[in-house]
Parts: sequence; C-alpha cells; structure tokens
Amino acid sequence: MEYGGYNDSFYIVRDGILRAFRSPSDKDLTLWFAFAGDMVVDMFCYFEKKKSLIGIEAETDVSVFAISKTKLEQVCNSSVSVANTVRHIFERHAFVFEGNILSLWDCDSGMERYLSLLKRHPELLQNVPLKKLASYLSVTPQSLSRIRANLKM
Amino acid sequence: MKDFIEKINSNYGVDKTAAEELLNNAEIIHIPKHSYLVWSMVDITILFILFVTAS
Repeated sequence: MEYGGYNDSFYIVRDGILRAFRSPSDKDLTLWFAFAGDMVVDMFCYFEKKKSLIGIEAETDVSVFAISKTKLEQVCNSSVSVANTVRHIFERHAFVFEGNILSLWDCDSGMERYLSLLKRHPELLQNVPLKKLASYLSVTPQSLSRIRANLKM
Repeated sequence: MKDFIEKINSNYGVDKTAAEELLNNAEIIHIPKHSYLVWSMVDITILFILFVTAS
C-alpha cells in the first residue's frame, strides 16, 4: 500500500465501506462512499498524474483488490477482453456516480435525501458517523439528528 | 471468488471471465478502519508540520 499524495492504482472493494472526502479548513466534505464490488480510483492521480485532491478513508475494516496502473495497462495490453472490461467498469462507474448525485439533487428536502440514501445503502447508517452522513446529504449534523428523530416518532 | 464476480457483474455488467482474469492480476490489501487509502495533500502537509514541530 502506497501512502502519499499520489496513488494511481485501480481498486475494487472486496469488503467494507470506503469514503472519499475533502477537508477544506475545518470542514469535512463527503464526496462518495464505495461498497463491495465498487471500483475505486483517485481520478486526478490516475488520469492527470496529479497529486490527490481527496482523501479516501476506510469507514469499516476494508479489503480491496488492488492493481497498479502500470500493471493494469500491461494486463489490458495483453487481453482485449480485460481491456474491454476495465473500460466498461470506468464507463459504468461514471454513470452510477452521476446517478447517485442526481438522486440526491432530485430530493427537495434533507428528509428525502436521507430516505433515498437509507433505501440504497442501509448499511451506512450502522457504520458511518452522523457527521459524515450529514456532509454527504448536504445537511448539518443537527438537521440530520432532527430528521432521524422525526422518523422515529 | 465466484460470488464476488457475480457482485461485480451486478454492479457493472461485465464479462465474468474477464473480470476474474482482472482480479487474478490484483493483490488483496487490507485497510483497517479509519486508515487511509489515499491521503490528501492537506493531510500530508499537516503531518509534515507535526513531524517538523516534533523534531
């Protein structure tokens, strides 16, 4: 595992939950979550060869399948079917990522966004602190607490 | 492994044989809870400052 500001490896989550975040000043903004079977790549490093602009943190104990970009390119050069599969994974990943954002934007309220997330990934609620969920849903932790309290009533 | 290939297939709709070949070329890495897969430059800068301060 390479630590540092640059990581162009290709990962597929085997087990657990990863979270991408950004920490401008004292904030902690959640960009996405990744679950078993999901691809994880730091896009700035992978495509632009630039230092990472995000951190990726394990919210649970996590295991991943990891393959360096160099090795991935070697494998893709030697197998058309693997190359097509990797291309398809990237395409599908972009589609799903956009869908996740739209599913949040289409909700008019924090309550709807919370319920939408609850429906898609109920495991987040047991494994991720309220503050991080709130930043993903673009609500304050206090608002999310109120939403959860209202749902329990 | 077969179940996991099915999971990838359900997520991305990929060719299962090729997906298995891809995974056979990968290594499995374990990341403890709250550890980082990628550290941002902000994290690294803070660590660097802490390191310099400590020394």
